[in-house]
Amino acid sequence: MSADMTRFHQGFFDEVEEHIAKIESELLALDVNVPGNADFDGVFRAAHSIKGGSGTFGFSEMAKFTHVLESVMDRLRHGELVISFEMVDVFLRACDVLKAQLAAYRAGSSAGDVSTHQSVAELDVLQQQSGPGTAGGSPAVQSAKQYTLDLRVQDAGAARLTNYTALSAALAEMGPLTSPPDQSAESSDWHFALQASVTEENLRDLLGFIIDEPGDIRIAVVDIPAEPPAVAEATFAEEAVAEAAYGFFTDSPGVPEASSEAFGFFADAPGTPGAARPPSAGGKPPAAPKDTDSTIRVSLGKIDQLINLVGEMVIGQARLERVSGELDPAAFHDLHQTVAQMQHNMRDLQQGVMSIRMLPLRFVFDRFPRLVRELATTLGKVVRLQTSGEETVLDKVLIEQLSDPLTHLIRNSLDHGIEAPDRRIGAGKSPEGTISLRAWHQGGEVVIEIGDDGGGLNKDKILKKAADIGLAVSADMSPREVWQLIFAPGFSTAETVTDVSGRGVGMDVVMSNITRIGGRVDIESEAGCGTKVTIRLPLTLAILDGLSVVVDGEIYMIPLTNIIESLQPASGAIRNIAGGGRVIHVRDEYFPIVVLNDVMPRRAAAAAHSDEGILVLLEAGNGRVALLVDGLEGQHQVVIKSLETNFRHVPGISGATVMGNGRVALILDVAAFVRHAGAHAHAHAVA
Amino acid sequence: MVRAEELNTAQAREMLTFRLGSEAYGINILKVQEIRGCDPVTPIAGTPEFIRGVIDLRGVIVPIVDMRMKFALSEARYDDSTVVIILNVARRVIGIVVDAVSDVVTFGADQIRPVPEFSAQLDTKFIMGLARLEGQMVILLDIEHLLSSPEMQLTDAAALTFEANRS
Repeated sequence: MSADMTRFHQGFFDEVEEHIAKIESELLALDVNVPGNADFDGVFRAAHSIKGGSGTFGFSEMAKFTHVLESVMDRLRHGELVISFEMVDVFLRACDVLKAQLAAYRAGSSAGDVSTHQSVAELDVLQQQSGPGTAGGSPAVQSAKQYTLDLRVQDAGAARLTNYTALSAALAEMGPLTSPPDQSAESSDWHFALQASVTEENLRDLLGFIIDEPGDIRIAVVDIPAEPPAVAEATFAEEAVAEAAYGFFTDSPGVPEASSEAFGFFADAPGTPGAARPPSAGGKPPAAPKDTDSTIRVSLGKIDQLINLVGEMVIGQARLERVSGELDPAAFHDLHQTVAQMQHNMRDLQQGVMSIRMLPLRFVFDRFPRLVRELATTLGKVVRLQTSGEETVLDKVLIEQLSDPLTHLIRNSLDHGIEAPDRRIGAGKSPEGTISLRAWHQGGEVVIEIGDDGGGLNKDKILKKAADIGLAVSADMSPREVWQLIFAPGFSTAETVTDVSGRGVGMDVVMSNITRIGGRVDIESEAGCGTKVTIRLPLTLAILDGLSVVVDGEIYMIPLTNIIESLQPASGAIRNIAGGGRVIHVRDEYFPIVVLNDVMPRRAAAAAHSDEGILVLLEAGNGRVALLVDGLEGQHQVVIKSLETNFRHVPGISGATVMGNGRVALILDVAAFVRHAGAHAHAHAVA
Repeated sequence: MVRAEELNTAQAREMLTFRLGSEAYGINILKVQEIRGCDPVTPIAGTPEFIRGVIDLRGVIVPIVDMRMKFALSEARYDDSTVVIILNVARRVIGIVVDAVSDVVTFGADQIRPVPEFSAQLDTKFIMGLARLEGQMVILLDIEHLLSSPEMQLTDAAALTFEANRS
């Protein structure tokens, strides 16, 4: 393949990725119980496009493999095979092989190392399986057609030559190809006669893929009598015969994949090709299905630059507003009106720009149907995943950070939450468990809820385990406090450590990941009825809804997501406890009181503890504190700026922002205050 | 101890001179981004006193260091001639407060003398050399080296090193 072809590769890779995602999503959406309704045209076409493209670009391993896949799908499409649960698994594993091949090609190496052996064997079993309609199980033969292609091409120069070469090669791969002997790339009209068992649509796809601007394409069809297609993959078929002895589709319970998966889904089970792995949690989200809307790819850097500029303008606007507000409204009527209009436009502009960074949660949610399906099979459970709110949008950066914690929570629900079918029946529940994954916007935040209808958390077990690993527990803790214990590092009550979960490195990582992106995690659980984990996140990391407070004459911002409420302590509500700590009692809960000086020691000695001021109740991670401030200023939406670009990290500060008067205000890192209070309490407990 | 490589080119010898108390200092003009008046700064608790705080420089948060406090000069007064020199050093933007900016001077190699070892607030390793200008001594600072040193605590690594050395 000429070096010129590489310029097409990136586009081809992206396209293959989309095709694989399409195959997966269509397969997972299938209802195998109602096979009659299934429509395999889309799946087949996607596989076929991969084959065509990979052949064109000389990715022969992928072309060979998709040929095998496509043949089976073709039989499905024509109703010669009936889809089954196991069959979907085979296809999904084939998708994994394709992904591994794609990854190898992307990395610039050959996909020869990717083992297609097992997957090809499985597919061949299907290929040879007799379907409901055919008596002998002879492979389907699609009738070949005679096509004549007339093209007028608009590309010029080197691109034209490359296109011509690529097109000829691709067409020749489909079947016997003839073209006028005097025709060359220089001609403005190209004529081809092709005899191939493809559809006209396939041909158009191919042409569209290779030629950027096809001018005129005319395709005429002449039907010719069917003849068996050449089997280029004969060697594969032979190899497969031995493998076929697995008897994959016998209905016996001991199907090979079940036994191999007993090794643990996430371990390298022998017999599973190393490449054919489930998508790992950290993997790239599947490419979005092609929208009919036209889209362009823009680098995130450019968008961020735009967002920064708009942020600057918002600050400038606020200043202008302040300055003009001091002028006489009667004398400067026009100015006031203009400023008000600009403020309006500015808000729209900021919202519009921010929305560019937003992606729907579908990008994370899409991976879970497969995860749940495979994990449920491994664990011998029957589980249905219900998702809603996939279209809820969230900042791209947050979406990426969400995938690990969500994967973990869903695995937890499957492994620890949902009971085995017999136990469910014993408890009077439907044998099929349900995991629900819901998302919605609520007051400037995104709420994501992972619920299951399993056994719920076991309070006694958690308390016992917590005591074992040295956490401070007491029998009269509220359920909420007990559930928060499972976020402690090293906590796991699973009786056996399985490969799915139970290593005790889970929930604390979930908590720290979510806290890092400014979110909160809450658990509700009811014994016998299930568990619900609620994650609350800010919409974006670029701007922040904050409450400005005054401490010692300086203004600080507190992220609204961390604030529970603020209150003026009644006299005597603050209690001193031995050792110097102070707490306030608010509705059945004691909040340790912190002041700014605890976390950020100032130069001048701090004033003595006073009860004057306002307490802001804060929550971060799994802790709560009450911060004593001198006063509340107001609520603002501010642009977050890094302190670390030109300076360094400062304990207690998560960033900075610029206020309307041009002054910098520091954003408090609530998690640091909570940690401080925790460490403080711990020190007291030890002493 | 003249850093030959730094003072070799004519450009490197072009210095912005400024006053701290009664002393004259010079820094490489190429490190200077701009000179501006003293805007109100936002102090940051938990940092050394010579770090005045941060300002918003057209959307970028920039730390401001008061060199007079760092060099323990008698008094750091803020008046009309007090200015902030915004520097581009160590891939960062940092502002330094000085009493007054004097001039841009090109020093010939023969005007620059090595630094004798002496005990001072300012470690001599941050001085590239001494020069004479109109009968006055100008201390040529290696500002990049100085601002990225641990004792300035302006970077994460520097602050950590400083803490470690102290304890």
